[in-house]
Amino acid sequence: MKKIVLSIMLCSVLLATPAMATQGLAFIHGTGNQTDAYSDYWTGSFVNSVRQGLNDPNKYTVINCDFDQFMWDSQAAGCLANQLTSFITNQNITELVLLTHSNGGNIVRWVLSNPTYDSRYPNIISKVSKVIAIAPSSLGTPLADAVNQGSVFETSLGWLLGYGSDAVSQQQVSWMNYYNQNWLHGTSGRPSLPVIFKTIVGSDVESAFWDGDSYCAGYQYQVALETTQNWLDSCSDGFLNCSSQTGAGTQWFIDKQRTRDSEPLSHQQSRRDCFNLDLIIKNDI
Amino acid sequence: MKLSTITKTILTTASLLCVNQFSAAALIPTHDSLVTVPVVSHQVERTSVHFSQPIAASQQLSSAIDSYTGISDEYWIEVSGKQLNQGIDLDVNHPQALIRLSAKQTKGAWLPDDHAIDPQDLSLFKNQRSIANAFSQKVTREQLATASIFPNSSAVKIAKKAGVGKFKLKVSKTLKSNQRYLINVKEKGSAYQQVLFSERQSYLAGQTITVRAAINYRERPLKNTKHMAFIKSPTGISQAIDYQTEQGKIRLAIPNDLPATKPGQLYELHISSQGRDGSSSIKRNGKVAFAVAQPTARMTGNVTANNQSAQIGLEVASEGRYEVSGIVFGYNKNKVLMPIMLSASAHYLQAGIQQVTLNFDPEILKSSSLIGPYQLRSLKLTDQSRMAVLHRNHVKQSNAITQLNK
Repeated sequence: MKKIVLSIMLCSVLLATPAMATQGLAFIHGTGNQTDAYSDYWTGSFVNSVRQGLNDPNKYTVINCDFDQFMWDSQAAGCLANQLTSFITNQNITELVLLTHSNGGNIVRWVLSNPTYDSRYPNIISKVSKVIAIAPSSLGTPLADAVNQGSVFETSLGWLLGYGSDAVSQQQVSWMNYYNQNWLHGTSGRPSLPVIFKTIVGSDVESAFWDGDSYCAGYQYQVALETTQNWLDSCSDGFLNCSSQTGAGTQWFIDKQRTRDSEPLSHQQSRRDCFNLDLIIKNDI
Repeated sequence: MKLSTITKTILTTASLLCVNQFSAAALIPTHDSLVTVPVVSHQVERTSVHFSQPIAASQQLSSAIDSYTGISDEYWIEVSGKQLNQGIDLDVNHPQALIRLSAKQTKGAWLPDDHAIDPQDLSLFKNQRSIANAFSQKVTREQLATASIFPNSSAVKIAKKAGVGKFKLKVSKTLKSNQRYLINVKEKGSAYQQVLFSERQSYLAGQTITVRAAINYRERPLKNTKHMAFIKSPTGISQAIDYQTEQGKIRLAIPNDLPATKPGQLYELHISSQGRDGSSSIKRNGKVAFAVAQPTARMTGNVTANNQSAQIGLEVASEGRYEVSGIVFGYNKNKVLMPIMLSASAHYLQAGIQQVTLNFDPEILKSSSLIGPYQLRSLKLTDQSRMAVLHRNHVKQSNAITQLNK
């Protein structure tokens, strides 16, 4: 009799449970040609903390593409589509969360805004449940313009993350205005994106040498980004104005609203496990 | 509500051409303007792809198609190492301006190892007197490079006590005399701003660009401001151009001999402005990026639609992949037109007269609270293989409507 009751209960539970979605998470880096974004762009401590928010923390992928190219390039969006399609297929993903940083948000917006450009795009879009865009360069940055000043190009030496590339040209303010108005969705007055695209905004750079928080993700970056703030608004993360970061999709939060001790996130810190950013994202997934 | 089959073409894109041929916002190629260009060498999708997505009825779609406003509180000049050793004049009109000094590496000319200017070697003069402690901030090449943004550059911030006016900046260390440097003066927060306004950033070859330019002090334009313009191509080549300036409007026909670009790359119209306000000289630099599309195809104006799709007539002059898209509108209970759905379909097409399908998603229509008669607006044609916007109708141009149901 006990066995029968147990069987009935088990059957009831199984019948009452809808088909479980298979959640997946993709980390999508910003400008640069990455071959090991796990180590070089995000760091393992950030990735491994955020992915704990998944039902199965192993269902994640870290994208490695050449985002020095224009967003539509086969080595940029094409590469992203390849890697996402493989991930979706191999892991049977039905609900995909895309976590982007910086220009990675633009590459994803390209895919979401131009579904007919590539026959792989519609399937990817149909699986995406949301995009969490950390500090996306949706409206470009005046720094990209400053890099390209002059009557002829300064072909460059020693540009560490590929700045000076097509991706940097693309992120010039008036260039992004053109792309937003003609090729991308999600900005003011343009059709909305087909999925949620919510942004995390970095609003300041702190580089006080006596403040331990200035050392998260590297003190030297904070000093440099504080200098680059001279080209930016009073609200910026050292690389992007807040207005650019909120230029597409919907604002999720501005760093200080949720980070530990209301610490701001510089552009360098917003891809690292600084001030509980990793935990905030983990809990949202 | 079900859509009924449309029986005739209403107010087609061809009629729009007649109405708007003089509109600054027109992006409508004519039969005679079409060009045949080679098939692109990069890989292009060949499968036809259709996609529809709902648009929230509450969404405000912009009436400004493609306009751009650029605001600049900075300027840059190019000088030689010799000039820097002799001292260069800088006009500064805002306290605590930042000066960036970047060694230029042009093609075929490698930078010497000692190209970077150490901020310690910089002196600032005013009225021929050296200013002690002239800089409140000095940023070395190594520090700027850490930000991964500016190569070969250093920067200094002028101390508040130095004030504003005409300065001379001098480098004490001997520089290679013919080495080129870019000097960028950034006056963050300055009330003097160059404002550039362009109604569009998308053009067809042969069209005319008009940009309004001014230096404003707060909201007041400075009188007798002079503007100089040139075009910079994506390859970095600058090109002198013929242009007319009249009352702050810079007008130029797009030159036929612009260097070719990679698909999707933009040209830039650079504008240097110089004005006076009393005894102050104000310089500003800004630019407007723009695309020049070769008219490889056009919409013929023949549009028919039923409850599943629209048939759009195209005249294709160059083989490639083309997307047609449009927004379906319906009425709310107050009889106001609201957007329901954005639909797009792309096809790989050979040259010739084509009839392509733009698929709708009836499920989106069914789930919408908006009712018919539905209208198809904002028709747009793009050449995906060449990343070119070819033909576009404005969302609020009521004559760009195809009614799907009466």
